Amino acid sequence: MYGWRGRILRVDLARGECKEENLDPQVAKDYIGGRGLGIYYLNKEANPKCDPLSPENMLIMAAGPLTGTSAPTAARYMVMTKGPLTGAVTCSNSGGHFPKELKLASFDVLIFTGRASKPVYLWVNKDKTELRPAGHLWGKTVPDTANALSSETDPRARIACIGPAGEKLVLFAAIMNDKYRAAGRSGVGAVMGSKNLKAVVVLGEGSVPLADKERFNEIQERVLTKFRNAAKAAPSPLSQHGTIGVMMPLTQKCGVLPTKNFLQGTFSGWEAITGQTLTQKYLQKTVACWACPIACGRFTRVEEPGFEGEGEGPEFETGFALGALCMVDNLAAITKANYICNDLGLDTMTMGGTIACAMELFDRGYLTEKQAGGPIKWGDAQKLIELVKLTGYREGFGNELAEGSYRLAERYGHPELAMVSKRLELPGYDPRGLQGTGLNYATSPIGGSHCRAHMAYCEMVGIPKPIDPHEWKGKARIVKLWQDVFAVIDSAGLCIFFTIRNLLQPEIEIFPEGILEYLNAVTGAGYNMDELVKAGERTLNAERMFLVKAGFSRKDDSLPHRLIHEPFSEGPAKGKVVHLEEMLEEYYEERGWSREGIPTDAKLKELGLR
Amino acid sequence: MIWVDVHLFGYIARYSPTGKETFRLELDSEATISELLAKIQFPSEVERVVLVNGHQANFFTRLADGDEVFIFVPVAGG
Repeated sequence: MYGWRGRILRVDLARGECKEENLDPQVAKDYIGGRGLGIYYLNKEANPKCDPLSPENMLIMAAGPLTGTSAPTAARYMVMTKGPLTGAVTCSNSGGHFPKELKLASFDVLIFTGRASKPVYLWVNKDKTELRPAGHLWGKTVPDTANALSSETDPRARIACIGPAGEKLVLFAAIMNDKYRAAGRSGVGAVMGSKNLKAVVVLGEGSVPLADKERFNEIQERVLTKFRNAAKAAPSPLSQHGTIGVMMPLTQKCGVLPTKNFLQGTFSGWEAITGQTLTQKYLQKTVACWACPIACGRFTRVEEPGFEGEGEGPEFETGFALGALCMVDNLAAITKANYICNDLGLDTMTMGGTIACAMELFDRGYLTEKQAGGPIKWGDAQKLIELVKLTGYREGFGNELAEGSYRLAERYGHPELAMVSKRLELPGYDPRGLQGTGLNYATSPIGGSHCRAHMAYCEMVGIPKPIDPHEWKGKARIVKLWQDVFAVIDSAGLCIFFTIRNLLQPEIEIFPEGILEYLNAVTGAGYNMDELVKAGERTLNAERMFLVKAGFSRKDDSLPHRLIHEPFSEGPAKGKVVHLEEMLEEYYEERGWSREGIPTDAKLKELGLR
Repeated sequence: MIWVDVHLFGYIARYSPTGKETFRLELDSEATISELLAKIQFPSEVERVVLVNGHQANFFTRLADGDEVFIFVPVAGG
């Protein structure tokens, strides 16, 4: 096979066995790879009703056919499992260099089942695979684990691992790779911890074989020349100031920067925590994932007393969640909290969302000083740091924060104060000012995620074309197409940031014409546009079927009460709430699902899912 | 005449008539975005997205006194 390596590694942790099998070429074509292949195996073999932290759950790491090629931003892989934070399917995406190395080691997919009796790590050394004891690594932070594994395997190897948070089963623990990149959402790190799997270490060789190298080079030349010419006229602000320097000012200007646990849409302290300030005060160098011409990563160093450290971050989502959402305007503290999250292996978004929820519970008197081990006040930078540390180790009040905001708010009698969808904390775009964004949060298979269809691009900044953010009628059709195409991006192994501007049709109808070209040159599978978009739709429907079997339905396609009933009193989104129920009606119809949100037999047959 | 606050975001601040990212500009009453771009000699080959008071705008959007105009290179991140 070309593009795909045609091999899957099954790791039975209970028996301590690794077994290779071949990837079925038709399955590969129908599901593309990454996220698509992940849900294929989950639906085929996992029990959707299982306890996510039991040995019965499966953990899948899957790269796409483009991953590891030199196609721009072909650096991504997906971690798929049943998420412990949400009980929903999850697909948690990460870049860096680990995914590329997995492909160079000739694997498309790793499937972990069962639970090891003692801590282990997987060592994939070219064509040799083995499970090794990891007792000596248990308890170590992410960088300490990575450094130790580099020494005892090969310094060229790439490493994905969990930190103490994953071991302690924090429900939003991340799987960190290349030290600073995170498959962050829904608690994939806790699933890894529950399996006693500390790390996956991979070393490959050579390159990913291409079906039509000449054609691939032609596409590369055209795409990269266009990108470079645009960058020459005006370099991307993403390269200059990172994601935090792009989205912080834009969400603030548009009045959709979630602030004070979504009580406000603007933050008076935003300039202190934006990317421009980060560049001036802490940026050491920019960092790129494999094959990325953008380099939005930030390697930073903080020297202020009490917040000293260095590492990558913060990204926008981290800056909004640990900053505006908690009313913290101290960038040194936010950056330090980010470093601790990276070290312990925590999702910064759910961490910030959960602390913001605790702050509101405390502010309203639902959570007392005694219960919280001291006051938890809006904007308290020192407290932020303290709570992140406690959470990562499940110590003191951190043990309650480790369950995420929904369980925390429910415990104190006010679940409506958890800003979640399907129990996953919402990203940094308040949907009251962005209707399609709200519909996507509510219908995203993993819960409150922007990455399943980043509607803020068109609704907020007019990319690739502007669309009225406040209009809800007709949004369902766009959200459906965007979700399907984003599933194609995730399955191919590409990053959204480059793809949205360079590999999709520059219209609201974002057909993936550039991905189609790349996929055909790389795999030789002869996709047409209809097949490709259908593959995305198939993935969405397969994920939906996993949810349906796990007990999810329309009632779970929800948003917090605040976003549907409490309009902003000022700003560009003044007076607006999300028209979710109206949009859901349209959405299910567009999808060919019942009014309860269940795919019809006809739809499943059309997609080859029945 | 009207006064508007203009913010040229990031690298394109080099096209600012004052050399600063943020500046105040005087325009004819009901001037459009197109007229604003012409007045500051913003190069036509540079792609841009314009927000007025947090709302997406186009060439023909008319400006009013006190408007905040935010101009940036189209970018997708976050």
